[in-house]
Amino acid sequence: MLSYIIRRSLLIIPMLLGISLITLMIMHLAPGDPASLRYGLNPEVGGSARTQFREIYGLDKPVHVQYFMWLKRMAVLDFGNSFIDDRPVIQKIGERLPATLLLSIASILLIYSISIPIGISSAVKANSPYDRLMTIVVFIGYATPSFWFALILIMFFGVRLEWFPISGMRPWYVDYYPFFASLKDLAWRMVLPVMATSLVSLAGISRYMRSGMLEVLRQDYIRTARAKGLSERRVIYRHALKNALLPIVTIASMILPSLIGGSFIIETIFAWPGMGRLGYEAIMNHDLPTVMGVGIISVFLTLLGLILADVLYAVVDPRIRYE
Amino acid sequence: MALLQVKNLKTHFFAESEVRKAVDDVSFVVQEGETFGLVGESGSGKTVTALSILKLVDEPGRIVGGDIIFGGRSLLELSKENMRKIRGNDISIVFQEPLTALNPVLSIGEQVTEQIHAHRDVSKEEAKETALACLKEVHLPQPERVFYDYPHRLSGGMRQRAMIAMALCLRPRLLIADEPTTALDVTIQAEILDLFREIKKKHNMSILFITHDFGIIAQLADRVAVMQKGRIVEQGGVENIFYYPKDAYTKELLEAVPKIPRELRIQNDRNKKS
Repeated sequence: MLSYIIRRSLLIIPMLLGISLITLMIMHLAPGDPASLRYGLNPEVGGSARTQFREIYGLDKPVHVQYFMWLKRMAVLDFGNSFIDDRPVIQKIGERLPATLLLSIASILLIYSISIPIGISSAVKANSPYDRLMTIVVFIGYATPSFWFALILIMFFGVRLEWFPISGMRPWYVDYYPFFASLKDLAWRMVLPVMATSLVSLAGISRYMRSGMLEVLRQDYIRTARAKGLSERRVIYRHALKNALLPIVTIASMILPSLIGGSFIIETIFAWPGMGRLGYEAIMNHDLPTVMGVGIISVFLTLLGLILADVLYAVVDPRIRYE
Repeated sequence: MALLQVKNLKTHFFAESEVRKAVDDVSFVVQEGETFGLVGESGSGKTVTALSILKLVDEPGRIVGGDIIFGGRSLLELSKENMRKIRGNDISIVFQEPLTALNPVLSIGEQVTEQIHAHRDVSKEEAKETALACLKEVHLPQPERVFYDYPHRLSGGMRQRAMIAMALCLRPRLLIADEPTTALDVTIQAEILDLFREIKKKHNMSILFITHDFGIIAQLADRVAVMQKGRIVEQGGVENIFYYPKDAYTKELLEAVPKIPRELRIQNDRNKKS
């Protein structure tokens, strides 16, 4: 098991190399130029300043040279400074990542705590009116665009009912709040973005859960469990659920990238200072070091998450032992 | 004394517009301490009969007629909870496929002890002790190890032994064995049959033994019923049916048994009588 984890971890390195190379090349192909984006049409800044800017950051070199320069810096974990405000990239990411993770973890908890019970109950009462109703509800959720749902949430809960704040994560005045009050403010502000993020995945996972559960309930060992005189509760929640949860673990690792990378749309609508927005802004500004930094950190965390999912899989399924 | 009376049992499956009569007017009696054989080809309704007794027939199947009397009580009239108390406790079953009949993600120990907990008010330690004794009783090597092991780590024969251990653990009055040896290879089959013979002798419990193999019936059963297309075509004492079959189908089934050389058969008969 340990050697498996180590081998999997080592595989991260070539993946990071490949992904960083692709990111750099795509940024290189994109129209526009960091120097002119930085100085724009400012007539005070002459051509020599622009040339100097390119030289400082090595932007005048061919792309493969730039890549090796970047690699050399990465070897000592130097992510460089942002072109826009000259602050270290790692610091900028450090500010944004917690915001995204907060939203993601809250969403994933909400998604799982709603969709697993829905899936189980739908499977147990398959083809009943309840199951049919849930199918319709879930597919409406699936078909709803998240940006539209976010705007409806804002309209209804934010503007009409004024229950929840509609934008921002930490306004300045929170600094003057006592600790628990500021925590409460944060929780309050998370409600709408978390709801908006969760809707689509909710549908998918509850459907997976339903079909997984239906499949398991047909198995011989479920009949054995009933024949042993176990309560229906135990048959469903111990015998069936433990088997039906196995594929759900894999699905969790599939939604991981978007959870770490953050959702640009949701973060923008709710003015949430997360990774999604940071990455988007960096791309629009040709802020190469930040783009690369965001990419590498997201990929790294995602791969780490996948390994975690594998380990988790081995924990829940005794048949799987990674040799 | 009759332990189990199946009276005019009808279990039908309602698929689309069609009704399949899997069990159609079946009656038989299993006496206290007797081994009753139910023989028939695949699809003759043997397994559905067994599942009907436990009221475990899945949709779209339903028991539509007749009665099942166990220990003087009609099982069909019992509430769900009372039926649950009978399953695994008074009547237990061993299924055909030991590979799929055990839950792959739960340890053997958990699967044995949970049944004990479901029917007896015992502590964890007591349940474990009982479970270990059961595993030992069916001659599983290293019961301590098997207890913590998962089904995929056991061989087919060992899994079937574990299934039998579960079925026997609470000393049921009726043990239903639904083709318990069909999925096993021949040497393991013989071992499992030996185990059944031993159980029969030791506990004197009633066994409803379902098989398509007349050879097995000859070794184990006291009386036998022959099933075909959801009906019982003939029943009676094993020797009678064996030597004087009346029904054409029974004759056919008997002829399907591979001929055993005379000297082996004599030895077999001797084993049976001893």
